[in-house]
Amino acid sequence: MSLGLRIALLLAAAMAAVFIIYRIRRSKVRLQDTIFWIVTVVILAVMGLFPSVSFWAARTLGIQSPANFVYLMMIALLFEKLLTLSILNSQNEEKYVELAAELALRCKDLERRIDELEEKISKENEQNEA
Amino acid sequence: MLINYGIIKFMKTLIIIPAYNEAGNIEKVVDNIIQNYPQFDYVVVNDGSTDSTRKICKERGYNLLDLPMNLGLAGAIKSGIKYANFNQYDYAVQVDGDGQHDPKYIDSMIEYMEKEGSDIVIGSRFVSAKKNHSLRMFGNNLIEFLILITTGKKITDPTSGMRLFNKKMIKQFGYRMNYGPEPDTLAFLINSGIKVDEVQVEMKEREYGTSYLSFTRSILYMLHMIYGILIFQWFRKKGA
Repeated sequence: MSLGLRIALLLAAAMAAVFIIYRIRRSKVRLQDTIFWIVTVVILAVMGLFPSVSFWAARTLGIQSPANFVYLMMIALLFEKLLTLSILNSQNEEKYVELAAELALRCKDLERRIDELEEKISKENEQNEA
Repeated sequence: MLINYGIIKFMKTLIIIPAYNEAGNIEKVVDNIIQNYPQFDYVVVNDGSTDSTRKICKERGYNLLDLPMNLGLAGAIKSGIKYANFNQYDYAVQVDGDGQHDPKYIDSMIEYMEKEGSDIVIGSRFVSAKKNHSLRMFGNNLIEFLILITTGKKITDPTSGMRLFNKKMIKQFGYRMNYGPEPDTLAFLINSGIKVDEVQVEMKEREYGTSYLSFTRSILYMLHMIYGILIFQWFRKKGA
């Protein structure tokens, strides 16, 4: 693993850490959504600081070069994020359908009641006039 | 109630009752409050129940905040707290819809808050009583320990769902992010200089229905708390 790759990994880890901590301090991100990024920062930093980990993992998995293991790790992380985002997206889509339907039902119910009341009032007025 | 030179300053207190599928319990809980504790207002927050919780509340004419979908406990409590803020309550107290919290302790909790100037008062089962040895209590003990080592303060019942908030806390819990009604928020608030105290209460077992927390959810909950208390809180800006 070249020194350049290690520096790049450490830089990426540092930038991700700064960005996520800034978002947390500004209260712009929920606790649940920070776990992934903290884990990512730790993995990037470990790979940058201890190349022996990548050497060992590459040997164990039968990968030719430790650099390839680093890329594999990055792809795995992205894959995980893609999967959770995709699930989250379909859940959100379902939620807004549910929300819109529920709101329409409730508005309909309120409209019906207002119509009933208006009718009642106009009837009463007619009776009073008569 | 405080009486100052003939001007009666009435402190308004709201009981927030989150209810998710509590058809078997809700009537008893709310009727008890209406009949025996008329000095308190209440609001039932129906968290998108799929059973007849909403129907029962409508028929009985309860004061109901009816969420259009299921938000989970944190969302239900947040809605209730927003209601408290909107209607300018001085205190808001969270009481579970399953009847395990007895409203008779609310007076002593408010009294303690006024006397000690606390921001949050927790109704704790273990101020003067011992914990039994169960898996649930192991979780409770672990969270107590995590809070103790990160804040230096002993909270004997951090998972208690019976919590009293003052006006300042109503504003914060109602409108800020990552203010779930859970122990990790308590740890962060204690470190931010918020005064959190406990008052001894007794709790009953729920009679009908099931708790929010199943086994897998309990494990996820514990992981969430460990991460929140040990790691996440240090990144947060105090008072934000």
